[in-house]
Amino acid sequence: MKLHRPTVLVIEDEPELREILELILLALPVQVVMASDGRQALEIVNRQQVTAIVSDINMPKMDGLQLLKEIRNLGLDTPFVFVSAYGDKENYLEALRLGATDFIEKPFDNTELLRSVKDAINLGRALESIENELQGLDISLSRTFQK
Amino acid sequence: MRKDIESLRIEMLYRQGPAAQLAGLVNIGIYSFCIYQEVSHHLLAAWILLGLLLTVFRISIQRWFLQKVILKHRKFSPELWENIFSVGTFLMGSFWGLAGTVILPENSVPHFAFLGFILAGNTAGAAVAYCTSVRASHAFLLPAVLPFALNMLNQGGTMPIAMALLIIVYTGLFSLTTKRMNNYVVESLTVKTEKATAIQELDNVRLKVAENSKMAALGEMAGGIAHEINNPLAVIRGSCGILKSLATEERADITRINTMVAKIDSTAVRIAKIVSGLKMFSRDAGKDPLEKVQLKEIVSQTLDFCQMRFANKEIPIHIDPINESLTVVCRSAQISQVLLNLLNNSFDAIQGQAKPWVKIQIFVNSSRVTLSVTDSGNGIPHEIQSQLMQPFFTTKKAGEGTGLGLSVAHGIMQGHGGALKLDTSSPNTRFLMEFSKAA
Repeated sequence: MKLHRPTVLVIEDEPELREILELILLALPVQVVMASDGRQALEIVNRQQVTAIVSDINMPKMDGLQLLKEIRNLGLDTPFVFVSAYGDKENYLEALRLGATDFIEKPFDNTELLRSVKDAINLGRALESIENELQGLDISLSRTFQK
Repeated sequence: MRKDIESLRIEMLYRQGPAAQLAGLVNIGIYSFCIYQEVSHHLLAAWILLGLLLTVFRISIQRWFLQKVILKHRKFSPELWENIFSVGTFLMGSFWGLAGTVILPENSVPHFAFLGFILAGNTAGAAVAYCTSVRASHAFLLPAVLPFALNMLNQGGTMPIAMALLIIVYTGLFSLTTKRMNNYVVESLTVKTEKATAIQELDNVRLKVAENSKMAALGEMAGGIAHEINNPLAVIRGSCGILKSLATEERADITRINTMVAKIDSTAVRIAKIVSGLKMFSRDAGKDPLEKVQLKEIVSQTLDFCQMRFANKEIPIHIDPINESLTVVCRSAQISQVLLNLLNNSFDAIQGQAKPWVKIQIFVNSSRVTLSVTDSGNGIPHEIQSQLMQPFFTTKKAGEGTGLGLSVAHGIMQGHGGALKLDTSSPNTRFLMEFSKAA
């Protein structure tokens, strides 16, 4: 089965940093989609399939933690990497409790970020393939019962 | 404090001196004129000369004390200077004692009565003028009056004896009055000194509260500052990482390298501005001298410190054009602190709104310059308006606000002869910083 190019959604309210994140992630064979706040990100997630998410915490309109909560409420297990300037314990624990995959503090090392996003993509891919397998099984089962 | 009261008492004594001496000279002149025909001219001239010399001597000592000791050293021995003053009053009293014995026409009841009148006036004046020192007052009273009283008793006759008794009664009464007035003076000086000490302590507490509130505000902003600095640092570090990758390429893209370097440079400048704002905000500006400062400069420095925070939350700050010639006399770091406080309050209050905004405007009339900070909030509820400037009043959640910001800002504006007011006529939340116009 030929793998499609994974999509990474980057959510960062600061334009300059958003641009840098895009340039860093483009080193991976990924397609990068950008959003400047949680609400915009939620619209994208509802519209298209996303393999992994890289998000800031403190953002206008909807912050990163709220976005993760909303995404999990939609029933999506998309791997979620936080990149935050507020490296405090409360945010870290809350992120883990909500099901974040990783938590990286700003200013980050590009290699560390890339490794974390790669892991998230692999996990996302695995989840996508399990999802596909399950869908395939569902179809086979319904056909078997129809017979 | 006891020492302070004593010093003030003696300073008052010396400050009262010149008026009493002037009155003394007038008395010497009048008395000499009246007895000129009745006593030896040589004796009278010697007495007048002695009076003049004593007056000059006392005035010189007083000037020395007021100009050299008080102005230059401030610290002196009250006991020593009270004794020096008392020696002067004793010599002057003795001089009048001479008038009551040696320089007195013989067997002239009208002259006795006239001198009695002068001595009563002199002693009454001394009782009042020297009431800050019972010692100095008595040092004048007794040698001035007693020789005359004894002389009158010695003269015999109804009138002289009556005058002697009267002058003794007066002396007793003046002595009591001096003591009573002295008590009042000491009490009043004690209250004055206690008040000055209390005001000084209050000022110290105010400074401390201002300092603590500034530190608390810095604490509140610590998360914000981490965000302000870590974000640009992430831009720099990320750019460096990209530059490293570019360096490994055989044909590096020079345009991309230049773009990255420019980004690093501008981001470093941004961090430097934040740090400079932090330095300005955190140092103790309470003792800075008042200076004529451009209002535009204060607004610009304050915005350097917090503009990015507003921009990150997409809160526009509209600023009316400010004339460069518009100046106010102030401690600019403190005024910046007040403005930053208002902007931070606006930021906290409106950041959840759909279309938040902040506006800075300047209004000038003949006597005042007003800087207003308006935000998209709907004003302050009427029931809490009167408590806004009170210390520890806050509408923020526990741990998010100390409730000291506005009260300290209010104190700072008052300290500048201005005011910090809530504009209740505005449909939006609007605070006014009022300054006296710089000459």
